[in-house]
Amino acid sequence: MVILEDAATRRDQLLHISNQVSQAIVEQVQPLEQWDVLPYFKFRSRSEQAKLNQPTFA
Amino acid sequence: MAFPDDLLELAQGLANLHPESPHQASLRRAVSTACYALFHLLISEATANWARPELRAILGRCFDHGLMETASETKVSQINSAFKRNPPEGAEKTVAIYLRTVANAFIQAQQRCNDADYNMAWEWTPVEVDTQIASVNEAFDAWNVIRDEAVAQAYLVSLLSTKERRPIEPKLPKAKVERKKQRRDLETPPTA
Repeated sequence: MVILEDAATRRDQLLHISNQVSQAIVEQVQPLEQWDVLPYFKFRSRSEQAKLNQPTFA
Repeated sequence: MAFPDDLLELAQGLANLHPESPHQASLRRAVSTACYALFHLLISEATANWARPELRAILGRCFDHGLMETASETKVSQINSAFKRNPPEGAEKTVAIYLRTVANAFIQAQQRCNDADYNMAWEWTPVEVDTQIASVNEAFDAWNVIRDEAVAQAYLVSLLSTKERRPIEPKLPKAKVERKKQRRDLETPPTA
């Protein structure tokens, strides 16, 4: 789960930012090549996360 | 408008259905519908190669989500490995980038769809749904660029099966195989 600043979750830039974040993680961790697992990303805005009050793990 | 495009538009419509207080039902259906949009885009592109139009829908039933996901994983992995060898910039690399976008979007869409349909422990938010729809939208655009490329067409064929076909080895007659096995057994000393 990736929490983004609200300003970063505008529709016109959400794809660009979510791609950048996931690509950076994939390049570092190489989940498929090194661990044989698939990366699975979820994105929320900070305000959505605050409203839901669910625990975050990182 | 083609059916996959209709599905993608519907997904966006479902995501926007209750902008003030989004409902879990519409958010989940939006994720699922976006996933189906990509699924049907790839199937319609693959079956369009079949010469008899009246059989295309039946051929489309041969595609399986799980196998398509596995084939997409293989494709992403192959492209990532190729990129590690620093290929030169050019058309081939550009096509591979677009193809990876499509395959990766399919993998992500499948996983999210599964969650949206069955995982009630997880609450969906508009940003998560927008990310899914945007990713499928991007895959549609990427596919439009590369749909006539040989590697893109090969990817469509790979979606039908996870098995790589190998050249058929000539089969020995059964009796000959049996004789070979007996000879091998005689040559191998028994272990204590």
